[in-house]
Amino acid sequence: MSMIVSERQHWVVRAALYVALLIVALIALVPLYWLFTSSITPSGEIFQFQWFPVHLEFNNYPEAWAAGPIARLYINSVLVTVVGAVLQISVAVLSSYAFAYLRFPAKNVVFMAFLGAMMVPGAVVLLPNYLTIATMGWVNTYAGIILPGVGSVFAMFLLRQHMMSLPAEVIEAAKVDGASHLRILWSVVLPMSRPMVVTVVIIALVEKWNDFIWPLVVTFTDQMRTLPVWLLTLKNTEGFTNWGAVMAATAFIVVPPLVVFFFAQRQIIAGLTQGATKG
Amino acid sequence: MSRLGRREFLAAVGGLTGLVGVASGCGRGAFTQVVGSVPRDYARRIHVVFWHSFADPLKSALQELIDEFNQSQSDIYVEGQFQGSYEQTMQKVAAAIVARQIPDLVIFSEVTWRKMHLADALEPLNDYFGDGLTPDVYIDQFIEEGTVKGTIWWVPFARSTPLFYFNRQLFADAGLPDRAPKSWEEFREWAPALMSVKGKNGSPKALALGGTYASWYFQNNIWVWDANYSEDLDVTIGDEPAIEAARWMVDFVRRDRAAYLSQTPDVDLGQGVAACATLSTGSLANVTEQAKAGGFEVGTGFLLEHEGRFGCPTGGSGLGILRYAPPERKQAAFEFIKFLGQPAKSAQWTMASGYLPIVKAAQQDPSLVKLTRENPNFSTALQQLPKTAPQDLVRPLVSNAGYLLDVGLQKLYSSNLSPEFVFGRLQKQLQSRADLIRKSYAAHYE
Repeated sequence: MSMIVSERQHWVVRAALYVALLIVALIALVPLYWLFTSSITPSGEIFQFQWFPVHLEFNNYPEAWAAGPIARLYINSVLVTVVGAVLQISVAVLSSYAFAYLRFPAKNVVFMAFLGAMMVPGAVVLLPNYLTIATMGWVNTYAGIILPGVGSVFAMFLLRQHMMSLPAEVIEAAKVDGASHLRILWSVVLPMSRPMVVTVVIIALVEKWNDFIWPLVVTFTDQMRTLPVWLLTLKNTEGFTNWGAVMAATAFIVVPPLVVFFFAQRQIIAGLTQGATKG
Repeated sequence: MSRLGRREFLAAVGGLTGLVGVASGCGRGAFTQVVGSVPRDYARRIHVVFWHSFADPLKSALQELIDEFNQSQSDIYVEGQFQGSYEQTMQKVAAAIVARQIPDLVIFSEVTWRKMHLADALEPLNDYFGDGLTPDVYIDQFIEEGTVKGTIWWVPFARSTPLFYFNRQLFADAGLPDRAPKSWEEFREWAPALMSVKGKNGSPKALALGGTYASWYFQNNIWVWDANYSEDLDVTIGDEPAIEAARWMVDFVRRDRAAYLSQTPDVDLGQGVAACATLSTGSLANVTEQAKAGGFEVGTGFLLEHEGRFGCPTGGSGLGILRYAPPERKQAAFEFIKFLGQPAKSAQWTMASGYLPIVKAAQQDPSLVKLTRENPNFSTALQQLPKTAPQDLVRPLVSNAGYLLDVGLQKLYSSNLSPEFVFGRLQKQLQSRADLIRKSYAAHYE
């Protein structure tokens, strides 16, 4: 921000930029504020339009907590997210390196096929994935939840594009020094690709934490479900819904990523802006 | 170890992938039970997996019934697993059948059970009835709805009907009697008075029309205008009486400006944005809670008549046993159905959920009678029950028919399209889809 709003700019421009910043902040923060205030409002009053609840109802949180094996659900969500993200990044890094630096027959055709696979809507592969997982006997297991999501063509594509933009001389120099492919990848390419890797990691973590459809389809028992799926169990299609507990449950799901981002923001910003400053 | 050349390496990997592909294609065969968890104390019993669609707080009420059953005998352990909404549960059952790992007992809605029946996935239940449970203990229209050509496929459990809800405070402020209007015409006469009341949120509209399941509620209008969505599989929504019904409602929305399409009619009613709404009997608890917070009392009444005719569809869900399970698990599942069919248990579920009682004797259960006396709104649904009927067949039988009807009605409530156009198009769409299942329908129903 200090790069954009500098002393040399006209004060009108600076004011306009700050107003824009304020608007974006409001758009991002007001829903979160509404979520947290709703979670301490009694169910019947949630639909009354009030900026701060008149009656406070902290009982929503214990009710939401009691509605399911929350500790187990947290463990499931964290495990699925972390392991899934680690596997996804590993696969993406290795495959993008292969597409960027290795030669093999029909490389372009394979790459086009992968890109084509990105166009396939998720709903189409739901049943084939389910059949494969069921045949392996991995229904309602961690393997069943994590494995189908491990291959992300999007992550691989982003990394490959970035790797292809790296200066070829550095790679050549490393090869001349006798480095193997893995060595080049680990010591040369990855450090230079940090912004893109950080981006891909963030996308993977958020996507896997919020993943809903696949865990819903592949899990049957509450013991194996993840937090977003459990949130569904609090909403009835026909009948009584305890909205206060639903809001409290949503808060349970939203808070961990917020906390992680808060504490990791320095690394994230450093990673994203690496090499962005001149000189 | 000698280094694999590039080509050899790629060839080896390709071969492995092919092997895995072939291996995963194998494994077709018998049906096994879907995964579940059995506590150690119950390890020696027959394990029945029960898929249902009830989220909390209904899930706890259902789990109470399941726990009571498990503790009341020593042969069977029923495990309840929540699988999402009615539609999501059915999709999971379909996927489970294809993958050959199935549950034993499943909750099917009045729409999804017929699809399972056409797919020959349900177990015929006539032979299971006997001393412990006979079909006539159930309320007649419920058990008849699950019967096709004399065979019972679907047993009632959580049945509901639409109900007319109104804001008693707004009615009093408008100078109207403290009851629901008897007919659509009477409601139309009362609407201007309602809409001139100055409420907390401005003047209310007379009627909030829900978008979700709109066709279930509109079944009332269709029937009282002496029309049908279909007669068996012959779609009749394009006929003049049905268009008349739509025209009346469209005038109520566009000309009288008394009704409107709402995303959340129960919330609108609770906020005083609308004076009335037709909602399920299952929404009574929610609406009462919101009304209390909004400072008014909610009243209920029968669905509205027209020219002396009354029509109210049934809805909700019931139980079906999947055909593919081994006989002892199917018998065990039926034991649980017997347990739920006891009058005291039916009353217990009714009081906890707001769904209607499913056995005749439950209506005399003392606790239920007491609740009815304390909460008169609750007895409205019970009194309306004898006048209800199962829906026209096209909506439950034809794939996506309910969704298409809902979308058509939503367009009528919110745009300027003419009823002739919308219903004419629905007639064509529904009839072409109905024709696709004619053979299957003939094989099962005729």
